[in-house]
Amino acid sequence: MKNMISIQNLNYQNILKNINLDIPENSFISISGNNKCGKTTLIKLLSGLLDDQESIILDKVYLNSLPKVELYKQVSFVIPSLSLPFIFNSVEKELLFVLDNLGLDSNTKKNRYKKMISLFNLKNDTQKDPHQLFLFLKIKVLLALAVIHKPRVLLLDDITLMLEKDEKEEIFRILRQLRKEGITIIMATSNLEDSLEADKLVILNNGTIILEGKPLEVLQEDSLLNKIGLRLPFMVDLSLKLKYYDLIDEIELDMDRMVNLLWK
Amino acid sequence: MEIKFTNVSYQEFHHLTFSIQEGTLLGITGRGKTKFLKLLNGYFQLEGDAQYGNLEYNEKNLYTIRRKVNMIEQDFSNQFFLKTIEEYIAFLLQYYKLDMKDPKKKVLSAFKMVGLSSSYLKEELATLSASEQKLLQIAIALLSNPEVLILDEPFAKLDFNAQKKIKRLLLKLKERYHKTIIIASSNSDLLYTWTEEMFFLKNYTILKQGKTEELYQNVKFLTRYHYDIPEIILFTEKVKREKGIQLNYHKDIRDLIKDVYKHVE
Repeated sequence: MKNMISIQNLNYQNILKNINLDIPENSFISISGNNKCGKTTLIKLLSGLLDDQESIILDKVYLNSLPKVELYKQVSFVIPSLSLPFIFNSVEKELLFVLDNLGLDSNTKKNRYKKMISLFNLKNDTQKDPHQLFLFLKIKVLLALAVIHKPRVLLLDDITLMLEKDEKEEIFRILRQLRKEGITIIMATSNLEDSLEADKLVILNNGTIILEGKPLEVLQEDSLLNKIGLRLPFMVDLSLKLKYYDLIDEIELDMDRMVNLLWK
Repeated sequence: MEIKFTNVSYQEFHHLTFSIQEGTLLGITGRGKTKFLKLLNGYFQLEGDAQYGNLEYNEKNLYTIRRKVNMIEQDFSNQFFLKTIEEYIAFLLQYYKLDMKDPKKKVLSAFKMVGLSSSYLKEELATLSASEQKLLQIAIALLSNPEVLILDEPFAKLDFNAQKKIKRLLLKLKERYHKTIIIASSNSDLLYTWTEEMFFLKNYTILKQGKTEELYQNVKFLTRYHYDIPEIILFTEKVKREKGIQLNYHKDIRDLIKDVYKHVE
C-alpha cells in the first residue's frame, strides 16, 4: 500500500530525535507516551502548525513546501488543548460557514451538512452555542469541523481525555466510519486503551521511538511501558498476568470470552 | 471543620443536602461536577442553609471561606502573561492581598511541602511539565493555609508516574496535616481505588453518597444510572454471576489474580 505520510529522520529542537515512520494510506496509527514524550509536537509538525526541515513527506510532496491552504485541504487536525476556533453562536452556523467556503453547489452542501449531523449524532445540538457545550459535544463539533471538507489525513491529539466510557465508544464509532470513507488517522493519546483499535502503535519516550508494531505486540512489553509511566488496558494487563501463571495462552480482550476460558 | 449543606439550591442544582467531615478524601462524579465544586468553593450566591464550620456561606464570609476551602482548577492558567514562577507568585500575593509576615519564607515552605526545589522560582512558567504545573498549583493553594483542597480532574493530563506523585502528596496533606481533599473525576478506576467516600451526581443533585467501596461494588446501582463501572469490578461481578464463583472484590489487579488462581482448577 502506498505511503500517505513518510517521516524521514525528523529532528525538532530537542523535543523529537531521529524519528522515522511510514504511514500507509487509510491506516490508523496511534502514537502514545508519557507526558512530554513529544507526541503533541509530532502532531503539530504533521499539521503544519510547526515548521520542520523537509523531513515530512505527504504523498510524495514535502509538507513544508505546500501552501497552508492546500495543506489544510488535505490534512486536518483536532487539538483540543489549543484555544477553540469557534466564531459563531450556533453549531449549525459553524458547520455551514466551512461548507460555504468550499464552493459546493447547494445540493451537495445540503447533503454534506445532513451527513455530518447524522454521523456525529448532532441533530438536537445544532442550535447550541459551541462555546457553551459540554466537553463531549465540543469534541464532536471540533471533529465534524475537521472532516467536513473531506481531508485525506486526520490528526488527533488526546481527544478522548476526560471523556466517559460511552462517550469514547461513540467517538470510536465515528472514527471507524471515517476510515471506511478512506481517511488516514493519526492519533496521539496518553491512554493505551485507545490504541487497541489502531493498526500500529508507536511509543515515544524522550522524543524517540522506543517501540512500534501491532498494538497487542507492543503491549506485551508491560514492564518497559510501566516503567515509563504508561498503564496497560485492564484486559491486556489481566491477560499478561494470567499468562504468567499459565492460566491462559494468549491475550484476550473480550471479558466474556476470558471468563469462559478460565472456567469452562 | 465540616462543610454542611441543608437543602441548598443554585440555578439548576436543587435539594443539596450533605456534610463533608474534616480530613475526608471525597470523590465526586457525574455531570455537573465542576460547577458542584464551585458551589463548595463559595463561587455562587446560594439559597438555603450552607455552612463551613460555623461560618455561613454569605457575602460577608465569602473571602474567608474561599481561602479555607481552596479550589485548584483543572488547568494551570497564566492569564497575566508573567514569565517566571517568582513573578507569578509575587503578583498573586499582591492581587489576593495575602498578608503574611514573611512571604518569601512562606513560599519556600509551600514549595518544600509539595517537593519543588527553590530553584524552580527562577524557572519560566512556559517550560513546566504537566506534573510540575500541578505541584505549583497546589503550592500556591497552600499559601492561604486552606483546610479543604478541592481539585477538578487533577490527574486527567498526567501520566501514571506523575499521578502517583500527586496522589502521594495529597495523601500526605490529608494524613499529616488533616486537610480535607475533594476531587472531581470521570475516571471510575481512580475513584474506586483511591477515594474513601463518593458523591454520585445526577440531574444536578446528589443521587447517592456513601463509602466508596460499597457504592462501587453496587453494580446494580451503577448500571441502572449509567455510571462507569471500574473494570476490575466488572470482571469480578461477571465471574460471580455467570460462574457462581465467590471472588472477593479487589482494588489491585495482583490481588485479583491470586484470588482467580485459587478458584480455577
